[in-house]
Amino acid sequence: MSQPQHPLAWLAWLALAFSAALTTRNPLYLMLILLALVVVYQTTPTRTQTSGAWSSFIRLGIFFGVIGVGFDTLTAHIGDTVLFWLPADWPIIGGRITLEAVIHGLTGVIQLACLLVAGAVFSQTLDAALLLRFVPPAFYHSGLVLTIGLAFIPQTVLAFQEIRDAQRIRGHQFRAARDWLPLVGPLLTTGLERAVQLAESMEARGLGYSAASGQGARGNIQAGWPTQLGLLLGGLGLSFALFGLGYWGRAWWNLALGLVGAGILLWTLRRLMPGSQRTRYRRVVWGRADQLLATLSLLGLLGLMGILLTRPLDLFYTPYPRLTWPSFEVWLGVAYLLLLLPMLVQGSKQHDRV
Amino acid sequence: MREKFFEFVQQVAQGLALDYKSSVSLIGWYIGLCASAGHNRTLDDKSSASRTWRCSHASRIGWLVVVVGLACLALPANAQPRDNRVGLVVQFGNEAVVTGCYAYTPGMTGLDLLRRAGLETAIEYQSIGALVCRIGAPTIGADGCDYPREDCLCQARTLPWRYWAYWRLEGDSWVYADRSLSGRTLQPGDVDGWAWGIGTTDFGAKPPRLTFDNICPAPTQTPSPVPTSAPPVLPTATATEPPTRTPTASATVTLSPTPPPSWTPTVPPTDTRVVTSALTPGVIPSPALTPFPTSSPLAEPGQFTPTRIPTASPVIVSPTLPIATPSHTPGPTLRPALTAPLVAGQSVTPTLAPPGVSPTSTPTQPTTTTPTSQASVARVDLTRLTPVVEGGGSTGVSQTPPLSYAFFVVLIAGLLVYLLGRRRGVG
Repeated sequence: MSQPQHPLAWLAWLALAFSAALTTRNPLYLMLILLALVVVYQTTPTRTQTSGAWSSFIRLGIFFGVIGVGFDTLTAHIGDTVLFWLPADWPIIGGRITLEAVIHGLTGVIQLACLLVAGAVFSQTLDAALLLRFVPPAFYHSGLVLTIGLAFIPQTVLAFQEIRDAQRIRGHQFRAARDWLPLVGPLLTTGLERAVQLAESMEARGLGYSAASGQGARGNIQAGWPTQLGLLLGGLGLSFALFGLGYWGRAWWNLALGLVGAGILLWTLRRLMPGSQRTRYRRVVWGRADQLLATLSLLGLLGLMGILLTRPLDLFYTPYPRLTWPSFEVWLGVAYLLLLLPMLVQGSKQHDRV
Repeated sequence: MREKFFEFVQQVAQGLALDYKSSVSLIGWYIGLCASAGHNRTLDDKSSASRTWRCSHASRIGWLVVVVGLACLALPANAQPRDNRVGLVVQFGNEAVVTGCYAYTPGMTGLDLLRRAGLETAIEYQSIGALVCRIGAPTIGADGCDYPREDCLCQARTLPWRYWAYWRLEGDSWVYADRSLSGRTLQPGDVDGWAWGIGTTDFGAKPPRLTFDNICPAPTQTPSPVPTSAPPVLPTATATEPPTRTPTASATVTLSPTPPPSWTPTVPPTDTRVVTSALTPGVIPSPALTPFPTSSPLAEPGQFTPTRIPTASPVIVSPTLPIATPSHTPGPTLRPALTAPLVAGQSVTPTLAPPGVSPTSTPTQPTTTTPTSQASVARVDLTRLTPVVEGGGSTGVSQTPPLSYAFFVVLIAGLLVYLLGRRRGVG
């Protein structure tokens, strides 16, 4: 069976991975999820240039997560297992320092690591350009900007590694905090240069230019009072409906107002950005592996939602106020192994990570 | 006036002492950091040995000041404790009020106080603090949301918002808490208040007006127990009324696991709205009253339960007071039902005071009390009386069978072996 490569199939898997990691704080389940994601990360072939930067990005994320553990430990003065006391006069950190807070912080780090590894798998498997194909024409420009934004982090990490290596070749040693100054300056300059180049290239390719009207984006916005009125009414309706959710709840007229507002807004946006018809030389094929990955991922997602609705206590865990051993359901542990699907459904491997 | 002035002077003095310590600490940090930076810079510059020596010593002195400053900051404040107790007031949605007085322990937070009360609570714990979802008490009921089965603020998502508002008592008025209950460190004499009801983002339902003395009465009189085996009977006519539950009724239940060693056997005639320690030790053997079920799972012999009293006016039940046992039961026991209209063993004097009467006044009808024998005296230990049911799944013992954990270990080991084998294969 060929390996899954359709963005929609991978999106379904990513939704399952994110949901699995975000719906529980049970450290046993989180460890299982993390290990499964690491296995997928190690076994899926890399297709993008920036995939190598993700390992550094994961390390950076875990580093900040560990800082979060310290923050949790020092600021959450909850729990019965007191490790030591800080004077109560000390602002914010004064009070009891508990083992429960440490465990709570550590589960947060595992959760963060799960999200990062899942993002890394998705990023290394799918090219951003491939994702952009599936954005509706009306939102093409928004999708493009989002894609550039998503690609910014790995590109910055790559630039960081290159500059650091270049400085090391020149004999620079990174020992103290001030030694990182020669690295930050070039990194900032490189980022600005890249941004200018990107803007020029996008301008050269006619971003925001509408072939139908023969005008640029500026001309589209001045497309007449119906469009402006639609934007105003749709935005107001949607805003009032969202705002009203906190006051009136799910009242039928509130939901109707939201739906009408969203409809008007979508219609206006479609009218504003008609998009252009694009033809593809290479078409993305929806293969059997994609079908299997998407189906099982969606089934897993539905099952997870069902557990949340019917048996939320199975996923629930908190170390507060007194540390207890987390529960573990065998069937749930097996269900989390669905995250190994990309590894299971793929057949031949193009090239492995070293 | 004079006392208030001295109190003000004392507070200013305490504030200055704290500021002094903070200033010393901050100066210490500053000098230490500056000296440390200068020391590093001089070490790079090897040309001047004397400068290195000076900076090295400056660094040491700076860090010494840091340590001294931190030690100063760590010193406890010179506060004179008003009373080595803290109080708790909980007002439920049906206007039933529970008050409690507890021994103060250093570092005690509002969360500790609420948990110590032994009330049934559901609390959502977050890194930024704890959030009370539900509070319940036996015979009164529970208000709030059954976290984690449902959203902690399930009744505050749509108008009107209902939630447990957190207050602290300052003087004789309630101040809406600006910190989480886990972030509030109590001092001796502090009183925390909880009230369920309609509120906004910056204001909520307010507990009844009480003072610290109402909640934690000073020990005034030590009763001399009368050695008698016969259960004393309190001839109070009002207590023999059928326990019809009036929706507008409110009851105050005083809960005190560490009660003062004395109680007031006789209530002076006043028009008090809330009276603490005004209860009589006695049992009214009225058939209209609901007897305690002796097979209650929460009950222990010789214990008493806070109950809700059906009355048209606020009254108080003080479980800190000794009560007598019914003749046919070995001792008063708990009534687990949350909606029980009334319990036996009450010795309550309903008052007809209008709302808003000063809490310092006393009931209109005197209540004669009969001291009982020491054997029949029951004092409430809430930590034993009611199980602390806390939301969060932390029941203390995991229900997972060991085989499940073994399966977890097998899963983890399998994945790890696969990863390691793959790495070796790639290598």
